[in-house]
Amino acid sequence: MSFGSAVVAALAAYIAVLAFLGIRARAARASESLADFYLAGRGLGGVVLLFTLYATQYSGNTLVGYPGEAYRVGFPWVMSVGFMLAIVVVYLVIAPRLRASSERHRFVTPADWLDHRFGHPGLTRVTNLMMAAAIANYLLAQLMAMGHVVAGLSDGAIPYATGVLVLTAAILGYELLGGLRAVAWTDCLQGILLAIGLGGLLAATVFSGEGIGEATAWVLENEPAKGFRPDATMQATWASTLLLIGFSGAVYPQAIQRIFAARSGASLRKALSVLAFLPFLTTLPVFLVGILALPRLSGLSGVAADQVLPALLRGWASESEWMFWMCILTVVGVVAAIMSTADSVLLTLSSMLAKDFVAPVLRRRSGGAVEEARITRIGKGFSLAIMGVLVAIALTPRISLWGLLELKMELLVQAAPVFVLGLTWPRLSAKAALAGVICGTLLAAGLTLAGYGKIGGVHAGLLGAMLNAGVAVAGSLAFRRQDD
Amino acid sequence: MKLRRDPLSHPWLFVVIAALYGFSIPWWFGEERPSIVLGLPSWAVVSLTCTFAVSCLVSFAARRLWDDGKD
Repeated sequence: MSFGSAVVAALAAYIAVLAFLGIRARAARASESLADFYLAGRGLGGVVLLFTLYATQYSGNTLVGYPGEAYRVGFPWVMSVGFMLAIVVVYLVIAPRLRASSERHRFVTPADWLDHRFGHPGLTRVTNLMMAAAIANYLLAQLMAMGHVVAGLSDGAIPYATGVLVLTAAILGYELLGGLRAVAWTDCLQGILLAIGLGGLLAATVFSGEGIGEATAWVLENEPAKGFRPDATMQATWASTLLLIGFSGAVYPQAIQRIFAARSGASLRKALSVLAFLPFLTTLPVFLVGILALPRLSGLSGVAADQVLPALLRGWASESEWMFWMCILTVVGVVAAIMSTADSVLLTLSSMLAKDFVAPVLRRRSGGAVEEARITRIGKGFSLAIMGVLVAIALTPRISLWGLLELKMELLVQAAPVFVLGLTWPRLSAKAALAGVICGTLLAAGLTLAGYGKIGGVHAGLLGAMLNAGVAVAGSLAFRRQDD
Repeated sequence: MKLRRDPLSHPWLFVVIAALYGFSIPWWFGEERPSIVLGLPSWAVVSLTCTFAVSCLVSFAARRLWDDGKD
């Protein structure tokens, strides 16, 4: 069996299991309420919560992009272990209070907490809009990655467009059937596949001949800039990345919804206590793969950084039958990682659009309450519409949105001061927070779009967030008033 | 539900985490060729050790310094 046809067969089996889980999740639903569909009835236990946080947090970029980054940057990319952990550190700051508050007030989306804490529609709308724009960009990136990864790793047996269309249809299928319950259950499968895929990668690196020690010696000898202590600019980028990823990753709306969906504080505590170690089982092996690629692929001309993993896998697959099947599992693990991120983002985005943007308009028009089942149906309609638009963009290669995609973290991190200060500092005022968000976003977006993504190694998004927090604190102190 | 205990009420935790993260960035290492320890440059091993210590602290804090009175 060729590598390409084995990948097709493995992916077909994987999609069949996803469909089965979607149908089971549909059967397990208790009602058509928003909390049942979007928060799995607030019933996620510790293990499912751990897997869904894990599979959502680690995207395809972790498995495909990070070996490429390690190959390009060298040993300083060891920072990736620290910055994925930084997200869990920020959870320690926000999750206990957010969780306690959500249990009392039954939040469904992050905007519910914003409304509860600040009671300022302008702040809620602006923050929500920024988070929605950031995760829509993120979703588009996942769809395009699905197509590229499947085409690249199946040796062209599955064309880019087919990969995007089939996998998008699979996500929509189980998500519309079972909401977060289906997404969380499939996240468990995807998390296990991700772990097996990483195990495969590690096994492949161990059994492929050259050890990490030899690779390190080669790097120090032939590419010292990638093995010696990083320079001052790279050190600044290291610190900046820890803060940027830590704060923006923790306020991903899909992550916040999982805090609301936890069955109890105890299940959330257990999930986070294990999640703290997963960078060592996920990001570290991926980093090592990129380092091992340095001597292996150094002689090849024109190896783009993001082709490192496919190039290594094809090479390893031809070494033995055992390695062949480990590489197939790795491919399925990579696809699972991308899908598990895409489905969570889609579900959260549709809940935000239906509940936070459309439901208030319907309520105003009808002059009263709107049935939750109706909002759930509208959300499902949004899921279809969002995927329709994003797939159309993903299938039009002439439209280049990479400039916009770069704005994802820059936008998202501007929501962090609102959540972190809002949860920890009672004096934070809504008006000052809104002024901070606007100033920070303008600075971050302006610098990025003007081509200054980093200044002195520090990300424009972080500079924006620092201005954002500064304006929020100074404004709150100046007005000395509490909005809540 | 009211939080009985919250990691934020233990400022030392975040001071130690910040210090460990600070040392995970190898500003303290010289410009000489690093020796190889456990297959990696020595500064990368120290960096990973500091990061692992942060993992242990975070895990400890999630289990022991956070009490919402529901166990």
